[in-house]
This record gives sequence, C-alpha cells and structure tokens, in this order.
Amino acid sequence: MAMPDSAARSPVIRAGGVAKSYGDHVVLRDISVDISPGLTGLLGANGAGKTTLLSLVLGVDQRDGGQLEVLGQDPTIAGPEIRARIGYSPEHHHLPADVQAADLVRHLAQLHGLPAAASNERASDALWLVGLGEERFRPIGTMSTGQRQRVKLAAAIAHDPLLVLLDEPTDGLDPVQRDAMLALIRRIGTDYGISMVMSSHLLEEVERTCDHVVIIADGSVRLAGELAELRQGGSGIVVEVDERSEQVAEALRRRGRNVEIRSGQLLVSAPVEAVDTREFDGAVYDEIRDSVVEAGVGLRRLTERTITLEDLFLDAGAVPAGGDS
Amino acid sequence: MTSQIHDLGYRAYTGERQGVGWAVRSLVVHTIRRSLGLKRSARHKLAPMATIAIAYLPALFMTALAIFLGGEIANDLVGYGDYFGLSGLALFLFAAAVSPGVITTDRTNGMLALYLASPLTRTTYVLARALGIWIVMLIVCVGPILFLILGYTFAGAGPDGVLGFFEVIGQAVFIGALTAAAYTGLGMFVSSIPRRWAIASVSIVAFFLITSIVPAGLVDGSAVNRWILLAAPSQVLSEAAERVFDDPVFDFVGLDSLPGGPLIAMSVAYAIAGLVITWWRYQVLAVER
Repeated sequence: MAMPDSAARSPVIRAGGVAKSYGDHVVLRDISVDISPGLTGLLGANGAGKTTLLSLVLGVDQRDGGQLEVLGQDPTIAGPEIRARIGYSPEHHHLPADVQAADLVRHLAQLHGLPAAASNERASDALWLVGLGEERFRPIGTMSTGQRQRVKLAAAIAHDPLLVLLDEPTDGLDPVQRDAMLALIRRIGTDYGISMVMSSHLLEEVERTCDHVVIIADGSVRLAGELAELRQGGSGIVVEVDERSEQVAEALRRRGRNVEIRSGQLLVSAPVEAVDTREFDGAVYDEIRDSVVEAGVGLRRLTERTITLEDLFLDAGAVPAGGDS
Repeated sequence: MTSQIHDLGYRAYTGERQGVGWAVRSLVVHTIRRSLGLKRSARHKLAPMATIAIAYLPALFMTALAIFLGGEIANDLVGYGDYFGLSGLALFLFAAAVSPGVITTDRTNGMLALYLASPLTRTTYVLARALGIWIVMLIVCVGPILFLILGYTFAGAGPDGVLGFFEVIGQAVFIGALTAAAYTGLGMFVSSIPRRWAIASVSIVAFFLITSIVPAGLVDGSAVNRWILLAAPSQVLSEAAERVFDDPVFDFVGLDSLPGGPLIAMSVAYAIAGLVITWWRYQVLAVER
C-alpha cells in the first residue's frame, strides 16, 4: 500500500512511558521510544521485556500505563486494524506438523484480510522468496528448524504488511542457517521497504542486520537511535600502557582531555563541546605521547576507538547474552 | 511458440483487503475443514468419519426397516424424540473428536499466538471456533434425524400431511441445533483445560459419562432432590428432544418426571455456560509467544 511521504517518515512505533506488569512482577517500567521505518533491532538480555513489548505493540496484551501508537493508531483501541497490517513471527518453533507450509501461509494471509485467490498467490510468492518454493507442499512437521523459521517469516510477510515483528528469528539455527536468515531479513527490509523490528539478545545479529537499535534493560529503554550515529558519538582513542595507567590518565586530564579507564585501557574521548566528535585536533597524539613519557611507562597500543554495539550495550547498562545477569 | 520464464518476485499487494468479518469467516471454514480432516492425511479423517457413521447408522437401519417391513412394524419404529438418546454415544464421541482437534491443539502447536497476531481478538477467535464446531456438530445432531424423517416419509410412516411434515422438520432442526450448541459449548470448555489433545478427548467422554451416571446414582433410592438430574447434560438433551417431539418414553434415569420447560432451559444453559466459561478462560490465558 502506498503511503504519503509524511506517513512514510513518521515513526512506525511511538511509545511514551509504557508500563506493564504481570501481578507483582514489573516487566516494563518506562518504555519511551520512537521507532522509525526501516530495520530496527530490539536488544535486551533474556527476560528484559522484548516479547512483552511486542505483545503490547500487537495489542494482544493491554499496557498498564503510558501511550503507545503503532502505525499511527493505539493498539488497545484499533488492535484488529493494526494487526491486519503487521506481520508477526513468534519466538517458538511450534507449528502444526501435519499442515503443508503453503496451506499455513495461505490461511494466515486470509486471516489478515487477503481474498482467497490473492492469499494462494502471495503464499506461494512469499515461500519462494524465503527459499522454500520447492518445499512449499511439504508438511511442516518434516521440516528442519531453519525451514520452520523461514515458514514463519513467509507467513509474516505474505499479506504485505507495513511492519513486521520478528521475535528471535534465528533462535535454534546453526551458524550457516543464521547467516542465511539474517541476510534474508536484511534483504526483505531493504529491497521491499517493509519496516521490521527484530527482537534479539544477540548483539552481533542486530549489528549485522539493522540500521536502528533500541536497547532495553530493566524494563526501560537505555539507548535508542540510528546505529551509525550511536557509534559516532562514542569514538575516541584507545591507549594501552604497560603500567600506571592512572598516572597517564591524570597527566592527560591535566592537559584538558576526557579520559576514562576501562579494563585497563585508557579511552580518550573528544571534548564535549566538539562539533564533530570524530575529529580530534592533532595535538591529542602529542599530548598522549608527552603524558606517557611523563609517567615513564611503555606504550603498548595507540589506536582509534571503534565503538561496537557491545560497547553501546555495556554503556547503556544492559547485560549482553552470556554475561552476568 | 517460445516459452519464457518470468520471475515476478515478491510484489506489493495493492488489491482489496477484507475486515474482521472475513477473518472470522476464514477461521470458521478452517475449523470445519480441520475437524473433518479435510486436506489432511487419512488418519485424521478416521475418527470424525467413524463417529458420523455411528450417528447415521441407526437412522439408516430404521429407515431400511420402515421401507422393507412397512406397516407391519410401524408402531415399533424408533420415534424422532428417541433418536437423540439412541445416538447419544455418537454425539459425545464426535464432540470428543472435534473440539480438542482445534481448541486444544491451537494452544500446543503455536497457532493461537499467530491467530491473536491477526485481526482476530480473543473473543472473535473463540466465537469463530465455536461457530465452526457448531456447524460440524450439526452433521451428527441434525443430519441423522432429518434423514430419519425423510426415510419414514418415503416409507409411508412419516408425519401426517404437509403441515405435519414441516412441523416435525422444524422441531428436528430446533432440537438438533440446540443439542449441537450444548455439545459445542461443553466440548470447548473441557478442551480448553488440558494441554494434550488425547487427554482432552478422553476428558470429554469421561465428562459426559460421569455426569450421566452420578446424578442418576444419587437420586436412585435416596432422598436427594430429583432436580439434580439436570446436572446430566447428555440425559437432559435427549430428554429435551423427546419433549420437543412430544414423544416421551420411560426414562430409567427419572428425567421423565421433570417438566419440559426446565429441560429446554437447561439445554440452552449448557450451551451458553460452556461458551462463556471458554471465552472467560481465553481472556486470561497466557499465550506462548
């Protein structure tokens, strides 16, 4: 469906102070974020509330407080209308074993409002797109986990949604299948202009696939924005010395530099007032040299800092997968 | 002529989009197909087709008797009201085959999460499934009795006159639809509890058997109020059918001592209660995502 320019630019999801609890258990405290069209990674440790947020976006569960707009409407009020234009791929792999992939995708396309003939045609198209064209008449029970994930993706896009929500789309896949699935998601999001929100607890997946990121921790949004911009904001220089790093840091601070010690390394960031934080004045390298000499230590490493999503994740106070929780 | 391959690829959909009514209709059709095992392997067709056969067998047999023996046994033929008691086993076996196949399995095979991510709500989902199951139940609740009426009419043992014929048809459709609704409601209620299809099926059979036996056992030879017999759904439904056709026969359970009004009202209550409890359960159900 063609959208006016203003609609195409406006956020697909707009949340303000969204809260949700189950009994005494607070899952979401304060979700405030605008999610723009495009590919967005919803990152958080297991149990951070990603799936709950997706349920609220779908209008399946009711929020306890705050404002939420999805495709310009409140899902609590206009749930069926919104869901008609959303595709959803749940985290679980259970699908009816005795049903053919084509029948399942066609059935779900029909439920989303497509007439019978169009559902048949688009189910077939979607399954070809995800690489299951030849397998579309196979019962789902005979398919591998990777193929089932693709069936779920086909079902999520067959009705040509404006927004697709993918909950852990690579769960259970081996590395090769994971690469293929991420490439497919990226292709659908970019080539066909379907906005996607991909929930994941794996930083690397989001980094490879998405343009935007929303990091959730402890029931609130810790960081959100365009990945490229977020990476720029934290650039600087990494200095590693063989000892007395605190003394070198102090010398740099005396010279007016912002220095932080993290895991034994000195992170020299650009001045707050800098217009373009990527660019340092050439003097910083001289000052690092002088500070190292002044401290009388050896310089092991001097390199420009590249911010990874993991850095952003840690900066945001979230815990990456496999980390301490 | 030279063949060409056109790779149309994935395209945006610009055609018409239907609303919630279409989604409900689609799920109703899906319920009917799935319940009857259509477009599924032979083993999924076995249980529904076998119970349909059991439900129609007495009608077929009685019609054959009426045709071949005619007036000789006219007074010994099974009455329309008796038929529901005669096919009672088939009715709850059919309910046990149909309801769990859609209600229980939707929760375990992940489809419920996908349905609730479509324009369906928890309420429209339950209603669509209920409507689909009710239509399927009509096959065994209305179909055999209509077959019997038509068979008796063909054999010359049917209702008197055109008016009488349509009156009996109306009664059959009414009580058949009510019986189907009660079995739908109660079957859905029982199916909404366990997580396994087989357990749900066995539970439905057990539910109807136990509720048939226990109230009668309590009343028999004791001072327990006979109104407790209304707690036996399958007995109430077959007794209500006899009252609708004004065809009461001796009932060893004792329901024949109760007036017809409460029996009909209780049948309606079973249908509504089953549906409402199922609806309520789905409002609070945590859906696996």
